[in-house]
Amino acid sequence: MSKKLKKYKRYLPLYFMMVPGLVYLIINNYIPMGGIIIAFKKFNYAKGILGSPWTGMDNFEFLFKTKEAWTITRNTLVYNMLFIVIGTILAVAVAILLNELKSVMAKKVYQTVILVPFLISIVVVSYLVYGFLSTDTGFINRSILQPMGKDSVSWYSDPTYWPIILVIVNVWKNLGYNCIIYYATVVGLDTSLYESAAIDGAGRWKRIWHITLPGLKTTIITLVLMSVGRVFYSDFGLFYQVPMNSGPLIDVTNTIDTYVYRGLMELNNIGMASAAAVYQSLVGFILVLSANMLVRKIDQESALF
Amino acid sequence: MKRKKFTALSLGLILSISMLAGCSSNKQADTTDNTQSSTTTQGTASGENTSGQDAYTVKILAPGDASTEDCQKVSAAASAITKEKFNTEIEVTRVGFGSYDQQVNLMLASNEKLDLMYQYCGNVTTAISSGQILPLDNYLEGYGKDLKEQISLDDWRCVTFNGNIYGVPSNKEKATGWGFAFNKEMADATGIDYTTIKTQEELEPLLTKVKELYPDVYPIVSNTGYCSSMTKQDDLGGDIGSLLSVDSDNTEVINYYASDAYLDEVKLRYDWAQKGLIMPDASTSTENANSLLGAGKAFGRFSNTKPGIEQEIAKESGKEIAVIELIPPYTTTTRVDIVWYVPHNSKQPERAVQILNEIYTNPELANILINGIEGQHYEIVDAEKGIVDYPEGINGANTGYLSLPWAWPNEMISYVWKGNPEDIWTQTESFNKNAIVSPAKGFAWDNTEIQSEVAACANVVAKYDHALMAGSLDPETTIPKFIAELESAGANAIIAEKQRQLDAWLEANQ
Repeated sequence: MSKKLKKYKRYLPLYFMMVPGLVYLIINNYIPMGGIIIAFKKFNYAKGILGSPWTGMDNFEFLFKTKEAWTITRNTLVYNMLFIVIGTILAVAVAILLNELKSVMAKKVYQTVILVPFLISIVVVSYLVYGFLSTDTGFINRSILQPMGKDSVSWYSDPTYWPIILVIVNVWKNLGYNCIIYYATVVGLDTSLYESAAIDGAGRWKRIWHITLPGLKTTIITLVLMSVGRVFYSDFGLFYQVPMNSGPLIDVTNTIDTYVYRGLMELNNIGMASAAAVYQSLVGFILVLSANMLVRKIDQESALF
Repeated sequence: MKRKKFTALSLGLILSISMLAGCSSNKQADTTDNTQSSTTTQGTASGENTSGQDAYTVKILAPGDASTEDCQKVSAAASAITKEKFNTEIEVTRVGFGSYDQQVNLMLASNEKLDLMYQYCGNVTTAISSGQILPLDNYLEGYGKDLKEQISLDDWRCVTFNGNIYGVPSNKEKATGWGFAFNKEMADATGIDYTTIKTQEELEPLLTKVKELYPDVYPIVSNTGYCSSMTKQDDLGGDIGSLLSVDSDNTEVINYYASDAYLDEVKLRYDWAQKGLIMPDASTSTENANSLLGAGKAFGRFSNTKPGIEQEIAKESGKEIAVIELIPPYTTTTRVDIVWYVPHNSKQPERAVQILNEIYTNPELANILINGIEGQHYEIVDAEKGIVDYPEGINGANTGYLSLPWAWPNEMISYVWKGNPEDIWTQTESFNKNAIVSPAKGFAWDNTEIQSEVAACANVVAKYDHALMAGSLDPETTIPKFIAELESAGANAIIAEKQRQLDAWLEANQ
């Protein structure tokens, strides 16, 4: 018993260091959770949150009212899945490539170049995309398709290309950030492993396959699990700004967030808006729990909790 | 633009703020009963004020860019007038349009003191049912006599919900016509007599000729993604469900998107787009039409019409502009579009109404609030005719207090800015008087009971309307889908509810 107490004592400074973060979490993430009740209320400013009358599930109705409910759920889920799979594979690949580079200078340059898109505001990104896709002045129509003698494509009214465009834009934008985390892990791997592997005659491919990838496994699983929790949220800027809010594209660009925005922009109904948020977080919560359970079944070490 | 975390972030913010602020607002609900109290119970006057009221500060929120310093100067100048008369000081805060809605939302949620506010762009019925704005009936009797008299019964009806008046309509043009505004120089160069054009179809020869003469110019451009509809419908306060035409007595509520009038118009637009008369990507463009006109990239745009519209577009674009009126002016409830409200966080709503009444009727006070300080924000060019202009070195971009006359309660008692017709206010008055009045003018649509359908339909309309109006979609294949989706989103339920409310209203207001 006293041994245990001693152990706690040893860790006391660490617990102490945790306090600011914990306070931040409680104020910022836990207290506002009380607001979940707004989703079940007909909110009245004069009566306040607690005084407003209950309405049961009425606020949730608009989310499931139409055929759109299926479209927006599908879009949100499928796009996010694609982003997770493609984004992770590319980020890991690039992190490994960076690690294989010998020149420090080149490493720094590549890393910066890859990271820059992440730092650009999505509104600016949407105009960059417009620079490529604009019907009569865009780069693709003007400098590629026309010289090749092909017809211009009116990108903003043809939904067929957008699933690909959105994936490309998203991966291009977020690659650098994900890559940094994987790269940091790769750099932290024990170099003696590589040395002994090299002595044993393992080539570059073998070393990547047997040392780097297994070393990255935990990081990959953690990051994927965390993004799984957000598969029901969508990057509003990506789905609203980048397609320039174009009507004909809505079938492939409408996600839960844009649907809520378009539907409630005029209504300004707080109850309905929070109903949507509750729905998203609830599904995200369930998904994280089940994904984690699955991981724990397969490999206990890698699970989050 | 930056409202991307609409659901999550702003909610959390509003929530935590309103929780921290606590709810001291229950008082407001019952103030309606003791409106007269402050004049009768407050005994002796203090010092210079002649009103017998105790001191109070009315905080006003208005849109438009202005620096805090200049707002303070304006507030001080305005207070000098109201202090003497009512023992009331005025505090003006102005917020740019980009963040106006958000600012209002925060102020309302946080219970920050606010007495008068300009048009709240959110939905009025939501604001009422969520208790954000106060009913004014009782205050208007005692404190807003002039308002009550000067504003027409029809206009009051437009802001009446469940039998209570919730806002004060601004005095400005309250009707709209629709037309085509274009670069006069280019039109003259075509040699076509455009003054005889009366309908949208008849524009085509002019547009074709312009395209021939100026191949690099788009004959028609959209304004931030929308080509206005040349329509005579009365949209009955928004959402789905309209009267087909304001100049008939038919009060059947229909789905305008399913009407022949809509079909014909979008067919024409599609045809024009195919012929290259409408700019490509018109429905996704974020460009302001007037800047495209100014840059010489555009020949014309569809626009609302009103007295002084030529000068307004000319001023913004820097080109000489002519306007052809295609739909004569008419007025509906939707056209009473700038309304002043008293929010629930006003401590003494009756004093707010009293000041609103004064701003509406006192030209001196109105001018200070609209135009700022003489010599600093404007100077008088012609005192007799009441014409003003910017002082030397000042312009719309660097003034500390931007003048937006229409955004204030009564622009028609304020100075006329140089460049407008000298008699613009008389013109506006006769414009209002001569406008066709919709049989449903005054009907105020209440969508509280049917918001799920409204939200779902708003999504469907966002998908098709802009693109159809810009001619980017083929109506033959699109319209049937559009209508089917609207119906599955509950459009018919909205229309039925609207018809029910309209019938009841017609019955009560015969």
